[in-house]
Amino acid sequence: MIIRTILMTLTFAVVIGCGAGAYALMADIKPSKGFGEDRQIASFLHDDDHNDDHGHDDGDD
Amino acid sequence: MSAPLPTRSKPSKAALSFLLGWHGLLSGGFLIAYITGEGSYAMHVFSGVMVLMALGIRVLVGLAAPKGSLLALPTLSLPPADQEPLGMKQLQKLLNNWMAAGLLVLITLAALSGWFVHDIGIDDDLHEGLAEATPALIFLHIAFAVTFHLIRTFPGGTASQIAMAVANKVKISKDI
Repeated sequence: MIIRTILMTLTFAVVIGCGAGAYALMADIKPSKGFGEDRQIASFLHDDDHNDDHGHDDGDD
Repeated sequence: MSAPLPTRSKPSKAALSFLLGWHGLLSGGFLIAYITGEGSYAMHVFSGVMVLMALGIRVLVGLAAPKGSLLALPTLSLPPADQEPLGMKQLQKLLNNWMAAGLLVLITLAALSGWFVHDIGIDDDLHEGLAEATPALIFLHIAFAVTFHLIRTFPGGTASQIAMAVANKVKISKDI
């Protein structure tokens, strides 16, 4: 019984370890916080440009 | 706290298999969570969630299981003072129940505090303290399991007689 318990623990440890590893890899593939911040900044800048263009267009009109 | 320990019917193979699998999920998840505590945070969170899931499943099954069943939550009732000396099985059951309850409470607190650290962002000192205290209880749990296993398997019941004599504070006769 003790041997079976130890084997079951190790089996689940390996399975959960693999699952956790896969989860960590997936988490790494997703945009990190830093990248997200960059995107936010880029989007902010883009909006500014857009606003500028919009204002410029308004001026032209 | 003075009710006698409930007697259990013979456990079914399915109940034993469930407990073995559940124990594997909990201990395997805890092992990975402990190892990755200082390493990959994503792996630590994943295995911590597995531990929380195992605890949740055990509580739900324990609440749904009939009283006296192997799957019922452990009862912590102590035998009355005027009761006959404890038998080996009763003593083992009592110690196992207290050990299981202590471990479940400690692991639940460690896992829940970890979840709060992750989700709410509270200080992780409590989580780390609980997580560092848990292995001590786990080693005690392993020591009890191995000791009782050895007592049961020793030939002639010699170890069993000695253990019972110690537990019940009876003088050990020289012929043991």
